[in-house]
Amino acid sequence: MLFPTVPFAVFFLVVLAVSWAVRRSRPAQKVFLLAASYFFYGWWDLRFLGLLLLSSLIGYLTGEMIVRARGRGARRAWLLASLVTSLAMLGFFKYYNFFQVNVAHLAGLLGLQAHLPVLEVILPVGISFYTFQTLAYTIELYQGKGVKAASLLDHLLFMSFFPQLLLGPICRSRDLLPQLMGEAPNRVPDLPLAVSLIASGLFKKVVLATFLSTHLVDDAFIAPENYSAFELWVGVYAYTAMVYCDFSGYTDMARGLGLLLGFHLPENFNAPLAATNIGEFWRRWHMTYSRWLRDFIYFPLGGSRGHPLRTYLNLILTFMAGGLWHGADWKFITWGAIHGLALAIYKASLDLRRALGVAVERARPWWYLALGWLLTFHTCALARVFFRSPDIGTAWVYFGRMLEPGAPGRGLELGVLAVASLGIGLNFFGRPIRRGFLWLHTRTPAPLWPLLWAAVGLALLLLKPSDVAPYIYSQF
Amino acid sequence: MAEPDPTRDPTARDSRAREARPLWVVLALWLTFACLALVSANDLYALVALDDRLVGRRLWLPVVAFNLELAQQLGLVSGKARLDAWAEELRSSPVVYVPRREAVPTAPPPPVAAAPSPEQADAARRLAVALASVRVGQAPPPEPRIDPQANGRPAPGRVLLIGASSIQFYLGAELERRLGDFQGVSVFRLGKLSTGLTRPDLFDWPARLAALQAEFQPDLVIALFGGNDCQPIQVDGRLHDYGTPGWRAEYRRRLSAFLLQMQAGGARAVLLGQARVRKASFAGRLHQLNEVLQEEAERAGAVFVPLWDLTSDEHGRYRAEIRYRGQRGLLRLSDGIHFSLLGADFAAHRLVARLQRELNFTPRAPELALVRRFELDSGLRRERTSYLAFVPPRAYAADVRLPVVLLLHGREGDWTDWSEHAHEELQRLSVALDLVLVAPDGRRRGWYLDSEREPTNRIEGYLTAELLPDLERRLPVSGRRGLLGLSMGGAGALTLAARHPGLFASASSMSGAVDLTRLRQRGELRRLLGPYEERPEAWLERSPLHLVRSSPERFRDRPWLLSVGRQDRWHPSNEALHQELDRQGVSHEYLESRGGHDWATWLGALEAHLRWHQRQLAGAPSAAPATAEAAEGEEAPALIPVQPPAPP
Repeated sequence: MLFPTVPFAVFFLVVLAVSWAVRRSRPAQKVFLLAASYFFYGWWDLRFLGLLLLSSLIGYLTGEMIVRARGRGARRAWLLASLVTSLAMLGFFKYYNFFQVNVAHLAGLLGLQAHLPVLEVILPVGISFYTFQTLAYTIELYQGKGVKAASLLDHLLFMSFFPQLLLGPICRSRDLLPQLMGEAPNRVPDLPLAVSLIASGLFKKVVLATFLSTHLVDDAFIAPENYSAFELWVGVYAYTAMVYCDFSGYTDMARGLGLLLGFHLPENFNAPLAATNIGEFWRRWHMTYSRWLRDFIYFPLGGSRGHPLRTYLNLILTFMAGGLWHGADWKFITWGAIHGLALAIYKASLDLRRALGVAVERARPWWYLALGWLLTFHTCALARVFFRSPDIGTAWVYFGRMLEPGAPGRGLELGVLAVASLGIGLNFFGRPIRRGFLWLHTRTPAPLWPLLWAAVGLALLLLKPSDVAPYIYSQF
Repeated sequence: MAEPDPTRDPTARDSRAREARPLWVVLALWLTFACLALVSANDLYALVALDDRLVGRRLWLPVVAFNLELAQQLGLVSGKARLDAWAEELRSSPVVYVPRREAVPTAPPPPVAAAPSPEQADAARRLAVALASVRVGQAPPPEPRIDPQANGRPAPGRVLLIGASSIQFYLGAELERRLGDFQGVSVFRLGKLSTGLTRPDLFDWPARLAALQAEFQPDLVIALFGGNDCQPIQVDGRLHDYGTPGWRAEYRRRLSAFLLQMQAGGARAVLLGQARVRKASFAGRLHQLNEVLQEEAERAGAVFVPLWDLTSDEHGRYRAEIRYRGQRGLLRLSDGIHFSLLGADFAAHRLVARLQRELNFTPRAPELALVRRFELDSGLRRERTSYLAFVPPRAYAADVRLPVVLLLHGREGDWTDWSEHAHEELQRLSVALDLVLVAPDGRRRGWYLDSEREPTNRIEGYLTAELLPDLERRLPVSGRRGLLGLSMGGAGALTLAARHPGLFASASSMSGAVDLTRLRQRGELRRLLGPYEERPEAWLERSPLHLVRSSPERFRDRPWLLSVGRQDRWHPSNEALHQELDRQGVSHEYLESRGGHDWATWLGALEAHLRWHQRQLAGAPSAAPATAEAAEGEEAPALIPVQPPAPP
């Protein structure tokens, strides 16, 4: 089930009612939410349930053993067991064919024939997200930082809680487990925020992202040779707006739904397209993911404690691995490498300026920030050409055509420009809009809520394009 | 950016004020949902009624029907329709930028009929832009003596490619790319996810097609529909579930009307078939649908091009993996429906080869031959036959006549076989070696012979007396002819060349079935030749191995070429023939390779065979013109004397 669909709406209305109705018995509520989450996930494919259960059990058992183990060696061994099994599962489902193709290619270069079968592995939705969650859970327990699940039930629900199951936010144990293990809330914690998150999520996903996807982006990236340089430049901006709307829209909905059920989920996007340097961008974009990369790849690699050159290399390696997380393809690794390189260059420039005695922390004039924004925005936007193209070859065709003025194209609609600008603009003026809505909602008496909500819902229904585009991140 | 974000801190001071009682929230949400459901009752009804894969559809159907009834009573349905129209207006935006063009062909304005719907207006606007993207074709070559357009049909120029998601995504893009590789062809592609002919309420293809035709004026319309059509259909408020008689009748009606519409203005129509999908139940539905698609396409005079066989394995099951361009990979995306990038490349490659058999395309690439299909009414076989020719473009441009090699297919094959397995190789080799290649039809079990017992099995007569004169009339071929066959065709090539020394200057066989007596139990040969026990001479006369023994003089005047794989069941017979040819002093070449009785082996040997033919035919004299008189009426014109070699 995907969020903005009628079956999900019906499902959620029922789950919401039952979950609050049984809140006096916390275990019953948790069992019910667990069942609902498994129903939600099993809707895709029943076979996925086994995988989710297996992944959760591995996390629970190894976590338990890590906490109980006496010696450092035993703790290490259990951590290793968790890492190997989780990564093996992820590796098989996500990377097997990539591995097979590249091994065969390498063997071919060496004049050998590799006989690895091409297996038709079906990628279970959300596996990248919940594997990262399992890994974070056990690693943090090993480091003595995490919260241990009090019972298997808590852990199963922590792993499968349906608002965040498919596309995150990737929760750490301290984000969600204390809420699960504590007292049941008696009130919906922040109703205006929940409603505003769901409405903004729907608007970004269903209205903006879908429009961009079907009007220019999908086709321009599949067949860039049909488009003129101008259209392809617009395509790059439109895709940037589209990914932001698509993914942050989903996270908004997840957080809003979580709130309605009484749970706070961590923030994942904080106006990322307004960032004025690449470091800031990654503190604002897909935040739970970038924090994961920082804590569990960058720091173990040595972080910034070694030689500066080592730091830069660590950044690049971290983001190459982060690229690979998105999918088994060189294009994602290239995308990650570009981001790692950009971060390394940014870090180097900071180091250099510090060495020269420039106060890097001081406030900057507007033109400096504007230049920084332009540079950051374009680095991210252009790197996404690799991210979106079907393969690296097509990405090069795309870049080539972007620099080829005068080639015939297909024409451009005003709507694409307008919607892309709106999607990017939300990063700058989204907050006042939300505050206004919160103000309005807080002052609306409860009997009038349905009227307000239905008005918003109707507006969304009318604005919604008739086509539906799939979530970009549900592939990862 | 420094101000605190109100969404970030859930423990903010006023958060108490924002708390709400769960009961109220639940009730308010339910009420909101009910309101929205009532307002969009029509869409909700369609969502449930027209999707028979929905879980619990039977339970929901009365609910949404009641909801719709209620909304109609309240006048909400018409109100929502007005709002939708207004929103549609709002959503459709003008085209602000029209790219620069080299030349903009002028199209007559679309006929002024009823006021166009916003949808049509939108299409028209986009097309106005697309129209300008016509690539200007190259200057036409000087008027040739022989028309390069087979069957007098003009070459397609403006190709409209429409369909659902497969056309929207990789397959459509690959097809567009490849069709754009033909001279003078401009393609306009429109693919719309989740559309078809059963749900005009979602997307009205007939209306959209009319708008596209008015603006783009295609002379070829290619459509791929049906993947979303295996769902209930609604006619005048009545619901017909998929597969019911009412559904079939309505779907056929819509499909045939659409196929006729595709051919408006004399355009040719191509309907692509459905591909096999992974899920068995869905595949079953699509298989049934394919039959309907094919029947209706053929009835409407459109070309049906199947995709099913390309997406099934040798056992007819879902094909997961392909090897293509030296890569091994998955044919489809993980949904088991849409094509992967590699799969789309492969499928488009094969589909375009199939399209080239039906339509007079001319490749832009000078290293590729033109592919032309001709039809020939055979008096001897009493049926209409087809043959396929690969012609170097030079032959038309420079008005020269080139040597021709006939490609004979194997048992269970037909005139499409060579093109199915070696299309691009044949296109390349034809140009590289300056040969016209012709793949005739020799019937699935025709064995390239004239049967006394089955009066319509007159393949030898057809090839020598009917096909050869037709070739000279319609193609730039000279009298220098070679024969290349595989398996059944290999035997045919050797026997025909031996029996008609004046007609064929070279003959070669791949994995030839050179000893028919090994097949003496085979029913079809017993029917054609009579039982071996009764008429052994008929069998021996048709077996190259025995023909060399009995009349070696028929072989001595020309060189021959045999090739066979060592794992081939015909390997011993070919080896025996090689030894017999040696014994009789016949000059020949004999090639053995790894491999068996399969296309991999034959493709490996193809270039060697064709190069060999080119060498032989370059030095060969032009044989007797294959005019009707020269060969007509002869039972077996085996004794036409070889003309003395012309002085160099």
